[in-house]
Amino acid sequence: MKRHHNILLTRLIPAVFTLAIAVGCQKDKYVPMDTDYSYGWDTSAENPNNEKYLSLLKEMTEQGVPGVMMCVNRGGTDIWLGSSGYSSLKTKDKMLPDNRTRVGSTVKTFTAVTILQLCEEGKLSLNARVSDYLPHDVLKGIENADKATIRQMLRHSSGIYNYIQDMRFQTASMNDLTKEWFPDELLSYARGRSAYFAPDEDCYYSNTCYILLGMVIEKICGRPFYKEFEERFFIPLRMNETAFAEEDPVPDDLVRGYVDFFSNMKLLESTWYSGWDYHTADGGLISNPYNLTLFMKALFDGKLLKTETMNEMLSWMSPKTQDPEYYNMGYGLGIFRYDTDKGAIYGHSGDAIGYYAIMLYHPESGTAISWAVNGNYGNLDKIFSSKEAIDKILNTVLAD
Amino acid sequence: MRRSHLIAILLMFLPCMLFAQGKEWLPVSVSVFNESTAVPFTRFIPTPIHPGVQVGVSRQWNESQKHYIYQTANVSYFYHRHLYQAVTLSTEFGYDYRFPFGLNLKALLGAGYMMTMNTQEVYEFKNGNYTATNNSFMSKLQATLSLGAGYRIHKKRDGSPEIFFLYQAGVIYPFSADFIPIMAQANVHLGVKIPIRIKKNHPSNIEAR
Repeated sequence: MKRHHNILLTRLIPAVFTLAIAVGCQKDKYVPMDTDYSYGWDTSAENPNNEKYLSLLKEMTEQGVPGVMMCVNRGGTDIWLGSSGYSSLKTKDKMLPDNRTRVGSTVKTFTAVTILQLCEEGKLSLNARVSDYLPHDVLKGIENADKATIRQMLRHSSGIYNYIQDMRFQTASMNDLTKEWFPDELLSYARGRSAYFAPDEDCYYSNTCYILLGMVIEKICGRPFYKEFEERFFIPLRMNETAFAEEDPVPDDLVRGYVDFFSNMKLLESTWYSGWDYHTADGGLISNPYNLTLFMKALFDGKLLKTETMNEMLSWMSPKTQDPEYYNMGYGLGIFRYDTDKGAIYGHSGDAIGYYAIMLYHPESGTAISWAVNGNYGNLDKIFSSKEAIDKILNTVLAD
Repeated sequence: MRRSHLIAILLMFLPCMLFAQGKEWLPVSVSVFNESTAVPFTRFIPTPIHPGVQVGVSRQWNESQKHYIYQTANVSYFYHRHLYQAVTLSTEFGYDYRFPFGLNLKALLGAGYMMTMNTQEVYEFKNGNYTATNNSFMSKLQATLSLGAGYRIHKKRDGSPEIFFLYQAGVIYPFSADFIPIMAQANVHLGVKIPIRIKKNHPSNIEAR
């Protein structure tokens, strides 16, 4: 018996520790930042608001945001780009105004505009049921999926459960931070879950709907949904720094992301942690604020959709319960209306693990504004995505 | 984490620390386990494997032919890739229902103090700047419920070794204040309990295991 004790103490325990250390020594590849697209036309330094806008960004980084980029696009040559902080806290590379970052759920507006274009092309109907396009196997077990229409899914009024809220998904993604998730796996967390309400009874944000809408695009177009994004938006609008994550989820020139997981302002690098975002149309976009404003300007300048389709997109439904700490919001088709002190503003925001971005359009002034940061969660969010933070930016940019 | 929490946990260990006095056998358990952040009882062994090892001793509170009530004192270590590694001091109150053929069913309720350390470089924001550091410690409390089974190899002999399996469901608090206050945990242990003779045999100090 004593011999067995010795084996345990001398072999088993050291073996476990050796295994632990071996696993711990596997470091992810680190590629230093080496990009500077340097838009040749950029005259931001001569913009009369340059200092004012830069001070907004500097204030964010002084409070702990690792890096921030912003673009104010009033059309024509009146475009301001700026940045502050770092694209990598390891190498201390400066954040440049044209760096590439994850912009998460802002992709939902791209998904929505693609769907709306397909409607204009006669390939799809907003009032058709999603079940008219997707097989039963995909929708089975997802309550309301058999009766929800394309319009209800775009507006988040289908009541379909949001897989991201499932505790099993949340803990599983924490358990395997670098896992890549595929549509079927993500949809499995919505199966067997009760819908929030009957279709059109209310609005409630649901990523599940946009996974399904991406599948509808693929079904109709016969190719990956992001190929449609490329052909319809990225290439014609010269969104040269924009790509969907599927083919290259962590490009070498992606700014490093950081997350305040433990709400103590001790940030972990999370560049590789957004694997639930790589293969579905509810997230996964890589872009920058300048590119996002190009999209918003084109959309609201009427270059992407016909007037009547835009009217459909901008027909609003209010949720029964508004967040008292945020703006009163209206839900459009893949876009939101925020009721701000500066009037109605349209847009969409997006999170990935370690990244946040927002793209807004102020119809009164024809101004598109977008900013993106490479850190989020914990104590960071309030610095750049709270109502107070957004108000401050809007009040500065839309002061005139 | 308040220092009083740590003191409270250490006080819970006292019975186990003192129990060896007057006993012949000191039951020592060693287990390897897979730690996971998971909703308990939804998946048996979530992947990837986050390896851990636990060493513990136990004190018998009550025993009959069928029932065995005891308390454990444990120290464990696990490595959760990318998130953190942790050393935990814990104590559990356990109950075994023994079958005559050597098998027993186990249920244990536990509490612990966990000290976590990051597994990667951390960037700390101080005085308006970020500096890299490898030293980021955090204190947490852990509550667990373990269910499992054991098998005593020499069922009729005092001091028989036992192999055991435990499914340990738990919560960690605070995980991330204002963000994820409580995190669920599910650990699967496989181990052995080996009574070590610490005193010469005497009828008055045999712990009949």
